[in-house]
Amino acid sequence: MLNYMKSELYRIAHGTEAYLLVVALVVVVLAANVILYAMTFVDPTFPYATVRFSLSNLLGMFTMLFALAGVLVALLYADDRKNGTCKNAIAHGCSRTSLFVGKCIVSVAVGLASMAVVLVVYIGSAALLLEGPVAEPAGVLFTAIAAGLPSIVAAVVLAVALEGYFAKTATAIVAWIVVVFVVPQVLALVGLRIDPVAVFAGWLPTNIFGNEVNMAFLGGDFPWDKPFGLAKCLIAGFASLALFAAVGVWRARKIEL
Amino acid sequence: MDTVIETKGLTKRYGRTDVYALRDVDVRVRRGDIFGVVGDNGAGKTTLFKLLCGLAFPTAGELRLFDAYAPHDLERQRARVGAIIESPGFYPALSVEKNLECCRIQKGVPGKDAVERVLDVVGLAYAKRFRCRELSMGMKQRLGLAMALLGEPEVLILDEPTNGLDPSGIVEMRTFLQRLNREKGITVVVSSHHLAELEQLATVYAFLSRGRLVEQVSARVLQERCADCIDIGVSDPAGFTVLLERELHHECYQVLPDGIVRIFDPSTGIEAYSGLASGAGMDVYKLERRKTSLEQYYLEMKEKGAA
Repeated sequence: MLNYMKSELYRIAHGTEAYLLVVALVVVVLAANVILYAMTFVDPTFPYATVRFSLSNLLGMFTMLFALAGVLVALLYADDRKNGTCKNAIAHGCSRTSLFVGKCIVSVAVGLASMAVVLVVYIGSAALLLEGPVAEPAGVLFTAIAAGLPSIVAAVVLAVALEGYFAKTATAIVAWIVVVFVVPQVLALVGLRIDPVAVFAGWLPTNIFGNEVNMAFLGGDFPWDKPFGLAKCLIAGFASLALFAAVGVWRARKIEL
Repeated sequence: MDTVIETKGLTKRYGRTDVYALRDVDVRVRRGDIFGVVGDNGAGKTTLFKLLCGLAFPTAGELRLFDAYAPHDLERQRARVGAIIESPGFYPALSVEKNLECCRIQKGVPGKDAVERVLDVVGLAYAKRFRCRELSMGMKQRLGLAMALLGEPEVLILDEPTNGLDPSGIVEMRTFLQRLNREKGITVVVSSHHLAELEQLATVYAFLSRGRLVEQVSARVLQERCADCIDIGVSDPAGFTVLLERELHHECYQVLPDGIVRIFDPSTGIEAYSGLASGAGMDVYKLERRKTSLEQYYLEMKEKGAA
């Protein structure tokens, strides 16, 4: 498995996909901060050119990190089956479980490295260009990321599992969107009528980091501000991670190429 | 010679249908063989290769690779095998060299010069910086072969490696495989639609038809079977066969459905057989000396398999 991971890291380092994603995200976060900064020249009383406002944008769109996890895996492993590279690995003696676990670890590692670069640029440019304290809003952002990290990793693992299961990357993406976004949203809506469903839907990561965070912006605490909320975030994330990993290994062992 | 690949009752059924891609296949590949797998489309060649390489799971039967048969052991032994199944797999956006480097790292082959060596061996050194998506079919096949050769495998499993190659490419590939087999002692398991091509390459043949192994035969035995024969058409085929056995002590013949007597391994000249018939008062309306080609033999095998 170690050899497989090393070869994947070599491929990713010599490919363009991961760099493209990082550059695109860096451009977006830089542009967001530059626009806020530029607004102060247009309107000197513009109240949103602050670090707090800039960083709270990411909190408001926290589920976008889940989406980026899916995008990352789709970019890294697009057409892996079509290209026949999975076949090579198995024919060379790599087990299906090693292949799946190796892909998950590599994706998470590349994802974390990419996120670190983007966050440095995001917080750094905000600190340089915008007003207000940095430490406190950055602390809130880091706490949110820590609380959401297991869920983000779970989203990566699910994407790898689906990418390996479906022959076409496009089909895997659709299935991933359904599991990560559509099902939780539908259950949340059904939960408006049926209480037990609402309880279950309330434990799904997309609803915690989407609906509950949005509610916090309207007035209240973020889910991770209180011990129970933080525990809920972590339990939901780790439970999803365990479920997707188990299903992924189970399916990977059965896949015929 | 020791056995490197052995299957016993190997069976593969896809899904829940009654259609078997492979049924009760027993093959034995010995070290140093060039094992040619012959069969039509859908005969089960690729399925057999997929099972050997672990890309598919058998429904029943046993597969041994270097005497290992447990799934985990088989995975380990596959590191000793190089393979191209269906088409060579690689990353289209990476260069030839980087694809091979990925493969080298994945196989755990020490030394970066291993990539240069296989590039030289397959004659792709000049194209090492080409992106794989820019390669011609022949170059892709060579790259696949280079990947399979990394780590100096003991067995090469090649599924129709000459597909898409031009005539000179086919000759090059054949010469190359023969050289690998002769100089490095690599066992080659190869399938091809080009029977004439296999005829010049294989030392052992396995004939597959509709998922069943019709016959596994060595090239030497096949050569004997494809040896000369004489077709003789006489007015009394039954009487002629009696004469054949009594006068010439020849029992290796076949009466074809149209009454023609086919004499295998003729021990005497063609005139002796016609003389035998005319001497007994039979009319001889056909007399032809012929040689069975691998194609003809294959078609006969197919009929046998269908029966």
